[in-house]
Formats: sequence, C-alpha cells, structure tokens
Amino acid sequence: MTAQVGPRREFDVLVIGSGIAGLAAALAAAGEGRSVAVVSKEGELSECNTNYAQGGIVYRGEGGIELLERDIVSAGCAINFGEAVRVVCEEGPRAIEDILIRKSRVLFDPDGAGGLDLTQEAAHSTRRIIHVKDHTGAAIEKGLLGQAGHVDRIAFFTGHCAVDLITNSHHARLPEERYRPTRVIGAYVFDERREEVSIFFAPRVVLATGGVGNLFLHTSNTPGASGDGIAMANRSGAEIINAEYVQFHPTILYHRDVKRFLISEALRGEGARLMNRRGEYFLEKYNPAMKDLAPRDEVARAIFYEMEATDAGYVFLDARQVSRVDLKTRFPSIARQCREIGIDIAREPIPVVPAAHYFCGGIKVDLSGRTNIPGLYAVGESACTGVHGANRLASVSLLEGLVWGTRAGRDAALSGPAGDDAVRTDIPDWISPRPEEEIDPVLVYQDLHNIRSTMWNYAGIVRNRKRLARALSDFNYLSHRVEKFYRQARLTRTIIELRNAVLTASLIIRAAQANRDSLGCHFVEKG
Amino acid sequence: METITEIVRLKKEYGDKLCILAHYYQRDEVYQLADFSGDSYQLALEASRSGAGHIVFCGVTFMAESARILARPEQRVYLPDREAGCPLADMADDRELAPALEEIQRTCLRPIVPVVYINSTASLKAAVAKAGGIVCTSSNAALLVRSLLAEGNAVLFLPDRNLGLSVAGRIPLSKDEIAFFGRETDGPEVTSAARMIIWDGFCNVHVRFTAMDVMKAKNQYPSARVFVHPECREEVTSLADYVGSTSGIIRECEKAAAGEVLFIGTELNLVERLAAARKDAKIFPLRRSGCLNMNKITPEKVLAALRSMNGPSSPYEVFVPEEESALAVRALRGMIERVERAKE
Ligand SMILES: Cc1cc2nc3c(=O)[nH]c(=O)nc-3n(C[C@H](O)[C@H](O)[C@H](O)COP(=O)(O)OP(=O)(O)OC[C@H]3O[C@@H](n4cnc5c(N)ncnc54)[C@H](O)[C@@H]3O)c2cc1C
Ligand code: SF4
Repeated sequence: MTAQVGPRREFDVLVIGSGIAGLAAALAAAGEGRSVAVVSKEGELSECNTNYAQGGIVYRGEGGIELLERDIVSAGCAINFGEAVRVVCEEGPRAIEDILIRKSRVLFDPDGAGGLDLTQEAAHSTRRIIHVKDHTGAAIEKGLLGQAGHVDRIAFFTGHCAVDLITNSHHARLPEERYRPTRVIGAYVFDERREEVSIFFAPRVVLATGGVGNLFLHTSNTPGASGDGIAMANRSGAEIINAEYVQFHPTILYHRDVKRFLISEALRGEGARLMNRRGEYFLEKYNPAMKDLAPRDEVARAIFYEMEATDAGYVFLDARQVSRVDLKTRFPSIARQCREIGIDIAREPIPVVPAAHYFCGGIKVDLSGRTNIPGLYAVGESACTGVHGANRLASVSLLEGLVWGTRAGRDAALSGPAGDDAVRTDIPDWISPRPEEEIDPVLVYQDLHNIRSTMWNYAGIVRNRKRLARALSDFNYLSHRVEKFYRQARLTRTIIELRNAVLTASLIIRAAQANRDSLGCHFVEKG
Repeated sequence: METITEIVRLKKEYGDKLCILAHYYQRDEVYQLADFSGDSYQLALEASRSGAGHIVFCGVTFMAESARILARPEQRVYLPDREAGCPLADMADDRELAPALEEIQRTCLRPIVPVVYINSTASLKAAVAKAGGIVCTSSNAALLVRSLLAEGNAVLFLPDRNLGLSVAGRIPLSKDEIAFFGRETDGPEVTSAARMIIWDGFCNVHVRFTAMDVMKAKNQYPSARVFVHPECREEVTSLADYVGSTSGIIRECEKAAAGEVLFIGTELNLVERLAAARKDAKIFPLRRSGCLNMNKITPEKVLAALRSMNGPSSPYEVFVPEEESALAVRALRGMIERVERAKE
C-alpha cells in the first residue's frame, strides 16, 4: 500500500502540537474569531510533555517580578534576552489567572490559609511555584483541552503527523514563486490511520511540537519529543539558535522496567538529598552554598562524575529525612510509582539517573512568536524566545509556553490572512515514491537507537571536541541513508521522526562545536 | 473555637459584602455559620438575589457552579473545598450527551429533548441547552417531563435513574415506554415506543437505603411514617409514605403531629437536625447515610476561603467559562418558563 493523497483542508491558523503552547495558541486565535486546526501525531491529544510536568508553574512570590527576573537570568548565565524575560515575568501571573484558573478551571492546591500553596525548586530564591499535587501538567492539559473542546472554531486532528511545512518558494510549481520572498502557507500532514498525506492550508502556521529529549538514550520526555518542529522549520529556512543548550534533569527513576519517570526536584526543595553509593551526600563538595538546590546542570554533572567515581549506573535520592510535608500526600505519584517497584520513599533511598529533559534552544522567534519566515510561528519548547538563555530555571517552561502560545495565537489571528489562494492551487499533492519499498522496521529502529546512544555518549552531559566531531561524521553518513529511506520507502511516522531526528541532532552538535565555552547546560571538557 | 470566633469576626468586618450559604446537608458547625440555608435550587436563587460581592458556598461543586452562573459577573463565588464534588453529577459527562442523543435517535421515532436534573455539572447543563433541552429540580421534574411528552417529544432524563423512574411512575408511563441508557447500561435497546429514556446515574448516599430498612422501621413502630428522597431506589420509594425533595421532607416533618414516629431516608446531617428541631416527635434516620463530599466542608476551610477573598487569586473561587455559563442559564430559564407556563 502506498501513502494516498488525502483531502486539502483550509484554516485561518494551523497549530502543530497540542501541549500547553499549542493549546494556548489555538484558544487565543479562536478567541479572535479565527478557524483553527490543531494537529497532533499522537492518538491522544494529551500525550505530550506538558502532560508529564509534575513540579508546577511559576506564579507570584516574594520579591516580585524583579527577583524572578534575577533568578531566571542567573540560571540562564545572563545570556537571556532581557525583553523576553520581562514579558514572561510580567504577563505570566495574569495569564495563569485568566487562562488556567478562570477559563480552564485548573484547581491549584490551596495552602489552607487562604492562598495558593507555594513551593520552591532548584535555583529559585523564594517560594513561588504553584502546583496540583505532583501532576500539575496533567491538570493543566486536561483543563486546556476541556476549554478548547467547547470551542467550535477549533478542529482537532489526532494521529496526524506533520511531515513538512509548505512554502510558496519550495513547493509551488510556478517557477516565479522561487524568486519571491519565502512564506509559509501550510503543511503536509500524514494521517497515520488512513495512511494518507493531506494538505492543511493556512496563512499562519504555529509550530508547538515540543522538545528533543528522545534524541538521547536517557530522557524524561515522551517518545514523541523527536525535534520534528525544529527540523521542519530548519528545512524551510527558519533560524535555529542556542541548540547546544540541552538541559539534563538530574533525577529520573533508575529501573529496568520503568522508563522516563521523573523524580521531581520539588522533592529536593522539601529537603531530600542526593547520596552516592558509598552513602555520602556529595553535593556539598560541588556547590557548598546551594548544595542540593544548585542549578540542574551542576547537579546533573555532579551525579555524572559521582557515577564515574563509584563505577555505578545510578546514585540515590534520599527523602528519608523530609519532615515539612507528608511525602505520600505531597508526592503521591512518586510514592506510588516507587512502591510499585518495591521502594517505600519514606524509608529507602530512591535510585536515580540523569536524563535529557528540556531544550533551551530552538526556533528563533520574537516577542510575538514570529520566526524569520513570514507566516511561521513557533512557541513552547520548540521555540527559542530568549527567556531561558543558557539554562532554564525550573517551572518557567510551562509559563513560557502559556504566555508565548497566547501571544502568537493572538498575533496570528490579528495579523490577518495573507490571501494565499492563488498559490494554493499551484501546490502539488503529496507525491509518493513509486514503487514504494518496504523497509524492515528493525533497521529504522536501530538507526534511531544509534542516534540516541551517540547523542548520549558524545553530545550529552559532558562534551568534548573529539566526541562531537565523531558524532557529526556518524550523522553525516547516517543522514544519507535516512534520506534514502524517506525518498524510497512507504511513509510511516517512524521514518518521519527518524529523518527529523538526524537533522535536529546534527543541528545540536554543530551548535555545540561552534561554542567552545562551557556555559549553563552546555559543558565542554577542554583538550 | 478560635476558628469560629475568627469567622464571626470576619463576617462582621465584611458585613453585607459577604454572604455565606449552606446546603441542608452541611455539618452543623458549618450550617450554623450560614446567612442562608436551603436546597440546591433555593441556594442558587438566593445567590442570584444577594447583593453581597463575596458568596461563600458551603455545598458541593455543581451547586457552587449554579450559584456562579446565576450570580452577577462582579460577584465572586467560593467553595471552601474544591474537591467537594458530587459523584452523581459526575456520572454524566457533557461529552457523552451528543453521541447518546445520536444513538437514541436512531431507533426512537420522536424528537428527543434532554432534561437534566439540577444535580449536574455546569458543562452538562450547557450541553443540554445546546441540544435544546432544559434543567429540572426534583420538585418540578414530573411537571416538565409531562409537558414535553404532551408536545410529542421523547425525553432523555439525566443523570439520576431513580428520580427518572419516580417521574415516569407519576406520569404514568408503561414499562415499554421507558428505556435506559448510560455508562453501565447495556440492557434492552431503546425501542421506537420509548418516550422516556433514563440515564443510569445514582446518588450513593440515597441508594444505600433498602426495602429492608423500611420494613424494619415499620416492624419496630407499626404507626411510623417513612419519608424518602426520590433519589432512593424504587424498592424504597414504593414502600415509603412520602417521597419528596429535601425541602418537601422538611415541610412534612414540620407538619407532623407531636409524638409521631418518623423515619427519614435522606442525608444524615439533615435528619439529625430535623430530629433536634422536633424533640416532641421521634425522628430517626432510616439508615445512617452521610454524604462524604458535603462533609468535606469544615469551619477551618470556611475560614481559609474567607481569608482568600482579598488575594489576587483565591484557590477556592469558582469559575464557569462565559460561553458555558450563558448556555447553562438558557437551560435554567427554559425550566422557569415552562414551569410558569404550566401554572397558567
Ligand atoms: C517529566 C517532565 C516534567 C516536567 N516538569 C515541568 C514542571 O514541573 N514545570 C515546567 O514548567 N515544565 C516542566 N517540564 C517541561 C514542560 O513540560 C515542557 O517544556 C512543556 O510542556 C512543553 O510544552 P509544549 O507545548 O511546547 O510541548 P509538548 O507539551 O511536548 O507538546 C508537543 C506536541 O507536539 C506534537 N507533535 C510533535 N511533533 C509533531 C508532528 N511532527 N506532527 C504533529 N504533532 C507533533 C505532540 O504530539 C504534542 O502534542 C517537564 C517536562 C517533563 C518531560
Ligand atoms: S447527597 Fe448525593 S446528590 Fe447530594 S451531593 Fe452528596 S452524592 Fe451528590
């Protein structure tokens, strides 16, 4: 069977991704009267990184906007974009109140004294994070989906994987278009169930495809976090910046059968401490001032070195002395998950390992989420607004997704349709190779696995020149083969992802090579 | 004690800018704090009439939502425990309505009008309005259903099965004119003869009462009368001496003769309050059955809610999105209009 040609659809705004950023964009655009399509490659709209966020979202705290700005910039090693930081700090609290609390009815935990419960995480100098127990992301995603579900102007498409953006200059048959300024007019989207590729036309396309965690062997991200949006944007000429800044979460549950389970750093915020296999609390050696609340990258590296020194595949997180809160009510998901593998977190230390967690770089956008390609927006983890600089402060990413999603959605709606109709008729349907080759799925799987181990070992927590060079030459070779799959094989979601993964991984490595100085979550050994 | 003193102090401070509403099923410590008490319908009306800027609603989510919907936009409604839900209301989801109507319409020949009991989420009320339906209360349900049937419609009644059955019994409808539908129901198909299709939700406080409870009561005191709520099982309502809404039961208890023995089949807090009010009669619970969710509200939480009123965002404030609220109001108005028209 070959990939069939699906219908041509037309919307005012096309949003690719249904996490916090995509949904915020869709709601804002629909709120301005636009018709919106939201596509997600997953079978469930809620299957995305947003759904797995545990700790919470930055709200208001002592010290106000100024102190929050200072914390964000100090985590980001002062290469942040000041204007963007100001926007997220100023607009964040009201966006939470208006969109999440009022319209999406997210019930954040009360503190029992009349306010919202404020918690603290690594590198925050005060309590300012609100949460819904330890499943904040799921509560937010559910609320946003509930709200969006009542809006008739938003159409949802699940199991729809965007393949490529359509631009006038790349795709129109008319040769003249090649010379006109490039603008995005829609996307080719693969419908996995019907095995067909349809065209979604929209004068405004918002990429909200999330992160890149799944390019690494150990990750906290969902399997869908394969950098699709970054690769698509890059292919159509959008700028990708800060790609060397991949944040590693220090503490993922280490277990044979349980993957991607995050042990929230809020646990350390409440007093849990990292311990090596010899039973030593080691963070005081690395950062005597902040100890276990040091920035994530420092903690991740400390663990990495301790693992090397003790020749172990993991370290421990010790929550036994936590007394301010009841562990089982404050961290029910963690307690439950650990109990399932036979660990009582109140009595035993938890084995943990670091993992690729958050992409600070991404598609370069301005304060409205616009990329350098007219018609194309990017928001959330796939975008780089400049908020995070060289490293993300915990719990700022959901907020950034909410704020920029809303800004971009509104901008996309109000900047008016560009009247692309003439070009549309000139865009060809998706052309499938004939005859199509049947590719052994094991081959594709192995290539993905290669990328993930190469990235983990050569371009992960600790990098150096030789490793990066080796990784890039491996990927150069691999990308030829992958491109061949893509041109000759029957289209599948995995092949689309593999093609994007090679490209995004290469972009990360090139950025890492270009930046010889360790900064934030980019760490290079000298020599 | 300190908590109560502090609440009283804050109440004084706020004066008529604050109104505390409590449902009949609230625990006594909370009930005592209220400016106004009643059943869910009365409380919603009171909220809409109140001039207070802050309304602290001691009840469960769907009730606070109704108050929110009927209150003016600048008024703020708080529920002291946002986890006080109602399992009955949660047994029918707004997203289930459209597919249900579609499926029923396949075999049912009459146009179907959904009628939703006030014990339901705001989203379901909104979905019902969208589908051309209306809201009802336990006291006007029969009247509304009758008038809709008289116009040639079939009615999808949700979410409470027992209330639906008691309405059907009062119309009266024959067995083959009644059909069931819902999450747990995969019984007989809806036939073309169906006039009332009943959703399969239930209130676990009221389904706990059994026929055996009634028989035991009558065995113990042969002259005793049994009053129950229509959310009780059919086996219970059919044996009872009076079946009526919470307010109806209260009225009947007030009318009872001195020395009379009464067994009441409804929420325990209310029954105990009734018993205390009529020391001259003997009032017993038909069975001790309390509502877990109603009991979640405590004076401590009421105090936290009062303290939250000045903050930028209160964890207790209740919101219903505008579109949903406008639709739900339409469904509530539909009820009022029909009731008034029937009176003419
Ligand atoms: C375990 C975990 C815990 C976290 N905890 C926190 C926290 O406590 N606080 C915080 O602020 N942040 C946290 N984060 C980070 C935060 O969750 C993410 O940065 C944020 O949710 C990203 O949102 P998003 O909308 O950009 O992307 P996502 O929520 O990841 O959504 C991406 C969407 O894009 C879709 N998609 C991707 N590619 C395609 C394609 N080719 N075609 C169609 N659809 C596509 C996906 O299906 C999905 O719908 C956490 C992350 C993880 C993984
Ligand atoms: S008594 Fe029944 S209907 Fe009333 S709130 Fe409790 S569960 Fe819901």
